Amino acid sequence: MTTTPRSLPRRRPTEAGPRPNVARVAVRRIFKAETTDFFLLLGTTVFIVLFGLVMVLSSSSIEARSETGSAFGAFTRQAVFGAAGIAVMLLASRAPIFFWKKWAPRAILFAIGFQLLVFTPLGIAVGGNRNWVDLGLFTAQPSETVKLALVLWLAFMLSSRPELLDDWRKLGATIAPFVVVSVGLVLGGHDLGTGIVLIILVFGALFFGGVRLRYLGVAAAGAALVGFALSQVGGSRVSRISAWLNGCTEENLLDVCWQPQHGTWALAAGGLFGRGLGNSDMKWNWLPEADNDYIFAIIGEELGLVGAVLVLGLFVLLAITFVRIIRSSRDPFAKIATAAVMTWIIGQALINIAVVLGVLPVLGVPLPMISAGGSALIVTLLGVGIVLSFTRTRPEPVQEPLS
Amino acid sequence: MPRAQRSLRARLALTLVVVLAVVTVFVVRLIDIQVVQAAALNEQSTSRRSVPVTTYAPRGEIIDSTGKVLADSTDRWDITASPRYALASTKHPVQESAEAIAAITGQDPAEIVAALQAKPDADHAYVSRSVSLDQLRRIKELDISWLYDEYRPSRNYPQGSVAGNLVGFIGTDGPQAGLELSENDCLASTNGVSTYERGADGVRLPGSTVTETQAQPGGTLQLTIDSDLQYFVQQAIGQQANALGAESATAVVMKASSGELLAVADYPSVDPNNVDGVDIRYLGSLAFSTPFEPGSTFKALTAATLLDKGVVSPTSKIVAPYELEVGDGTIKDSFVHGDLNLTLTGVLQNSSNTGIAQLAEYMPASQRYEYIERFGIGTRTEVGFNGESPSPLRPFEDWDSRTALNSTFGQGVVATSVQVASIYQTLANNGVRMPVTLVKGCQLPDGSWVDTPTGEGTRVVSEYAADTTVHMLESVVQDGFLAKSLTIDGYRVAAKSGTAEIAEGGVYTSDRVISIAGMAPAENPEYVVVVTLTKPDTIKTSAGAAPTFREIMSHVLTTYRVPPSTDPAELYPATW
Repeated sequence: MTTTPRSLPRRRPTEAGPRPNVARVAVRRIFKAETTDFFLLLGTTVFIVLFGLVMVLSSSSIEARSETGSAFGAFTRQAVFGAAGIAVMLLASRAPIFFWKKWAPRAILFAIGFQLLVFTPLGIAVGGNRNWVDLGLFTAQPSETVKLALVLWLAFMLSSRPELLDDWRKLGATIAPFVVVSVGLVLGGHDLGTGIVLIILVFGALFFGGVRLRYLGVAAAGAALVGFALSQVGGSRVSRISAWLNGCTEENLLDVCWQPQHGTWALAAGGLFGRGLGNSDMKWNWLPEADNDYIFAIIGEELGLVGAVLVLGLFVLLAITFVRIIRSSRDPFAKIATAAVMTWIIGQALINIAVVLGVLPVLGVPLPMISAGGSALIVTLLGVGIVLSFTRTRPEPVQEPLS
Repeated sequence: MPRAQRSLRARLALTLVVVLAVVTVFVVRLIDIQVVQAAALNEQSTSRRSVPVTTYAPRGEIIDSTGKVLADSTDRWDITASPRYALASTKHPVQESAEAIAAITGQDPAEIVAALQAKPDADHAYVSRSVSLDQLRRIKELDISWLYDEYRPSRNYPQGSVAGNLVGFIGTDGPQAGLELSENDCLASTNGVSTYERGADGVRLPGSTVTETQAQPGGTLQLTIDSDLQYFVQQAIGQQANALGAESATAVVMKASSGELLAVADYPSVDPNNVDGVDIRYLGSLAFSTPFEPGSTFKALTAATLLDKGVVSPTSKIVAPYELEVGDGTIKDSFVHGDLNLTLTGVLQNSSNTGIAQLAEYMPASQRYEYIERFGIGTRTEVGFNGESPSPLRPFEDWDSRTALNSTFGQGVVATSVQVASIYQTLANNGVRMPVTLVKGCQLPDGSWVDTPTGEGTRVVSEYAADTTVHMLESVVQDGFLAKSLTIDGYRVAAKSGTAEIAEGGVYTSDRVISIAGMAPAENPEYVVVVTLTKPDTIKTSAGAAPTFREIMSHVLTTYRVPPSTDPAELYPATW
């Protein structure tokens, strides 16, 4: 946009002289129209966050009231984090691309250091997962920052060193150590769910970064092997997986089957149009983690098939938006970072829903931007903010070399 | 386009295809769970959440003829708990909660704790029974999540002992006596069933209550009894029974034209609110349940029978000695006298046993037996009161000559107070016996009335026989030896006294049942009153019952505003 809008206030003659252009540039930057993708991503994200807030309020109110006396405890916390997250996202969306490139190498070091705190006395175990850090003022999940750091770092490495893509030795030497350390630390805290999301995120970055498929195939086979080995170790995990494979019985209903079975019952109770917002029965202490890992079951119960499909549709829309952004970006860093964020958010969402639907065994992965959980929400929104920052400027048509 | 870019496009397209494929699988799975299998899954899950509860509706009221409440149901609640959740609750520990509840209900906290610990795995236990609304409200304010309440209306008798013997009472196992028992079909409510859903911690989910069967309240039972009159009559016989040292007493007030019972009083009376306050023998109604040898009040029946057959007239002459030799024994009058020249009227007036026995010889005993049956002796009245006696009539084949004679003056036969009242009602109602009624009807919960079938009256004796007998009985009141205590100023009263010996083990003892049966106004009788006192100490003749009869009859005549009699009675001659 090069012309001054007519609505600009007419300057008085006395001020017209000395520095008219400075003011004009600032105003133009502020009012510059964003791209379609910017608004599509922002709008979808904000809608999902607000929808998530409503569902967190609905699904947490009963348990929050019986535990703390206030039905709004978990909701208020989530709302504060949501507001902070959206602020962080909007701030991040203003950052220029070189800012992310500059901080990428340091981010991975910081995240790994932060993750190490889990193993210090500051670490807290929640439900067997030693995955939390008590920072005095609030508790945080360092593994969430690992996701973000990996996004930036992988995008930086793969975009700035294209020779890695075709040489598995170099790739292995530079990427693998950091990936193994960060994922290993998360798995060391017995957080299988986040570990799986991290692995998917890494694969997404490599896949869309242009790494040869056969390298990826070998890595996937290796990851699957490790995953299988891990699944045979943890006691509760073995029984969860066998319950998933063999179905629920009266005996295991009271332990490993309780959550998935009640999740299925919640969905069934919803039917086509749901029982109505707030009318869930399962949130009355029946369904564990109703506001978290199993919030999709409550959505299905209260809003029915219609509401559940709407949520699926939102994530599909998000995926399409990410793909649009990747295709219209010119900077490889932006492409790879966006792809990594996409595989992270969409992958995590699909895994979460698959668990609730009984397609996967219980893994302990929250539904991004909808489930209750402060650090996850802020970090996810920061990830979206980074992608938003790539879309603020409409890419100039690139002169493709003639072939 | 460079290879890298083509490759990226392909990979992006592949990604979208995979995402859409996965989402499609999810949608199919969602449809499977939420639509296809929904019914089966819901059945599994609701059976775990839903808790059936019995709902209660109040039992019907018992009201008197004017609508005053004799029995009603008060709202009470049973406090129940789920021991399973109670014992597991950390927010509301059992001991602490039990103390708080006990402070409201006045129980011993240990009792509550014991009730909860009796079956620790159960989902239902009674914590406190029958608490009032106020107590319920305060218990609910404790906000103990494992505590529930069940509506359990309890029975209340606002008028206490007034008509208590008729109304009966409700025990812990349901109706135990009186109309509460015999009219249970009208009064009983039908329990309903509803279910609610509970949270995993036992909390009742709001809005989850589903009523499967609506609880139906009981019907309202209306009696013919006038509770104000009933109260007065109970007071009157109570005072007299105390004054005479009588063991028990009854009084019946009946409407002559309809056979409706306006008061059926028993002494000792029972307060249904506190049935333990009276000996178990008196929990029912003596007036219905206890037949006695009526004695001379029966002479009116004999006279009406003879008149109906036309074998005597009011002035038929007879010589009545003090003693009369018959068959295997003697019959005597109640006082020593020489031979008296009496008419039938005089026989009644002087209550001569020898006189009535001789006059009855004009008629075969078998015919008199039929009349006795037609007057209702030997059959329960239409009321069918709980524990009512038919006053068994010995088969005629078993009657010896002595019984045949004794029956003319009310010995050797038995009748209840209500049956005696019914005999006098027949005489008062021109010889037509009306079915005895105690219950006017039953108002169903939907407002419709089911009236007790009254039935047609049956003619027992001719109008002439009945009216003449009543007229002769006026002589008893005006000129008999109880004239002083029977006459009521302004009204013509017809009545007969009775003093019967009580037989115990086949031998007559010195104990008596003294009674007066009568009606007023004699020219067109409207009300029948019967008073009996059993085993009085101080006055052992019917003189003890006469003042009470007059007291009750005066009250009835004034209460129901019966116009005073205008013409004086022209009495038949009593002697010749």
